[in-house]
Formats: sequence, C-alpha cells, structure tokens
Amino acid sequence: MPWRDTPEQWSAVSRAFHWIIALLILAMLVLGFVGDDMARSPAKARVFMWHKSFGMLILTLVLLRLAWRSINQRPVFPRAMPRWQIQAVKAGHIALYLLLLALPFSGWVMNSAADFPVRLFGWVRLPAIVAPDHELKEIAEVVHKVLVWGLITLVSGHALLAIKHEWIDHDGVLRRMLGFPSR
Amino acid sequence: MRRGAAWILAAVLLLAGVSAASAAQHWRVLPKSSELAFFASYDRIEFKGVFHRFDSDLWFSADDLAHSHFRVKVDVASVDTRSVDRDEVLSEADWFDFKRFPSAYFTATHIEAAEDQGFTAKADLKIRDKQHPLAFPFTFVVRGDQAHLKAHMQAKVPLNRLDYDIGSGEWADDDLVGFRVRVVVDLHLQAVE
Repeated sequence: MPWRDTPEQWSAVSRAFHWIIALLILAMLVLGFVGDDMARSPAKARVFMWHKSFGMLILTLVLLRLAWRSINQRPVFPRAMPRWQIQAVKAGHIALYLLLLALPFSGWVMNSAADFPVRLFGWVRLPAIVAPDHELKEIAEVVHKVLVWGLITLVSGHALLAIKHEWIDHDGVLRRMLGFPSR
Repeated sequence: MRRGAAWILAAVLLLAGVSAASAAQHWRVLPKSSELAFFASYDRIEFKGVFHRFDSDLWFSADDLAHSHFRVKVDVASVDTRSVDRDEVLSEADWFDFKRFPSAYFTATHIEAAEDQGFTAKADLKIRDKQHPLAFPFTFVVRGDQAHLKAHMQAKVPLNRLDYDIGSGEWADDDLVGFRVRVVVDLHLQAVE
C-alpha cells in the first residue's frame, strides 16, 4: 500500500489525519457543550483544560494535514460527479478547513484575553497571543460559539453526503477514506 | 547668659522636644503612585491582583516608634486581577464573599527597628471572619525637606490563603489555586500637617 496519496487511493497518512481529527472534533464538541453548562469550579476548569488541549492539538494536526495535502495529489473525484457538485464539494472542504483553523484561534484569543493561564494536557503552558482585554474576550467568545454551529452544520452535511455517496451513488468515496479500494 | 534666661531656654527646648515626640508623624497615601498588590498562583502560573480602594491611618516616625502605628481597611470588592472571570470568582461565598465581608482589616503596632535600616511590627490581619497575627517587616524611607516630607513604604508579606478561608469547599486543595499568596505593599506617602 503506497504511503503517498494516489489518484485512486488515500494514503494511510491522509486517512489517519481524517479520522483522528474527526474523533477529536466529536470529543471537543462534547467537552465544550458540557463545560459551558457547568458552574465555575475546579471541575469546570479541568474540563476546559482538556477542551483547550484537544483544540490546540486539532490546530496542529490541521496545519500538518494541509502541509501534507500540499505535497500530495488527492484521489480523483468520481467520474459521474457533475462539475457543479465538484465545485461545491471543494468549497465545502475549504470552509471546513477554515473553520478548523478559526475555531482554535478564536478560542486561543478568548483564553488569552481572559488572562486565564492553562497548561495543555496539564503540562506545557499555552502562551498568550493577546493582552488581557475583557471586550476582546467577549467578542472572541461570540465568534467561537457562532463558528461552532457552523462547524456542526458543515460536519453533519459532510458526513451525510459521504453516506449518500456510498449508499445511493455507490461511487466509493467513503470506502476510499476508510481504506478500501474504491472499485 | 543669665541663669533665668538659661532655664527659660531649657524649658522651651524641652517643651519643643516633648511636643515633637508626643505623636509620630501622620501620613497619607498618594493613591496614584501607591499599590496594594498580591501574587497568587493558578495552575502553578503566577498572577497579580491589586486592591484599588483602601483607607489607611498611618502614624510613623523613626525616632518615635512607640507612638507609631498603622491601621488599614481594605475594600475587598475593589480587587482587580485583570480578569473579569477571576474577579467574579473572588467575589463568591467560597472566596472573599464580598456581600458578607466587604472589608479586610490590617493593624500594626509595636514597631521596632530591624536590620538593614528596616523595621518590623506586630500585625493583625482580618479577612472574612478570620483574624491572625503576623510579623510585618517593612522599610520606610523618608525624603524631602521639613515642609514637603515624603516617604516610601514597602513590605512583602507571605500568607496562606487557607488561614483566612479564601477558597474553601471544592477549592480547598492546591490543585489549581496555590495556598501561598504574597502581599506586596508599595506606598508613596505625604506627611499630613
């Protein structure tokens, strides 16, 4: 099995990036919603420590993934896909990447502006990227929460469309990301 | 000098000396150049807070320590750690509990000279409903001429927040907020006539 992407197949590296990031996104959503609901307490601080830790991990992985994609040719779209659909899918993926970068950044700004020191995974301190600023923290918080709904919408659409392609179109795009040969 | 005049001169000098020594100099804090701060730690990372509002009654003369004393009343709700979230937590019942205990009280008496031109006092600190004695070493440097006397007072006081029930209940361990807190006093003073 080739370790670079080919026109027919996603490499193990690409697939690992995809599914690890997908799982982390799910974990993040749970941590974020549960944590937001908690009253201020050491437990809440711990929940958000994990949320912020996974968030910065996702940011790192997404940047690495983008670098990996830039030096690889991605597998071809199914022959039966009309051109408008391909354009839409590309736009959707770009939007996903943008959200996956904007979300951790807005979270990072929010954390820095709130002057809330945090040690990622209880170990290395996340440096502040802005000075303490309450208004900026409130703005970043709104941005972060709105973008989360954008992500939920896009990820749901992404997953549903992948299932549709597999079970209705039978064009193998999902199988390909799962590592099975596409035809 | 005639003997009568000498006695009168001695009496005048004695009275002047006595009246000068019967009360220490009264000082007022210059708020813009003074700071009542503390350093605490969250997740082993230090953060700074200040109390913006405090009333002080300071009497100090290096040559009249017997009549020197300090009394400070701190408005705890004026705490500012540059983080609204943090300040809101500090107002809660498990922390300073602004509603029930709006003030903290500090008094210092029995001031003595200490080494390195510093001083030390016996102090009492009351936060919430907990009062504890503590040693209070400080420096007090006077400058300026007789008409415009100024002073700079500095002190560093280590405290254990648990002694004053600051951060109790689920916050009573030092997993997140350390027990040790350092109070740093930096006051610029002006003599009061």
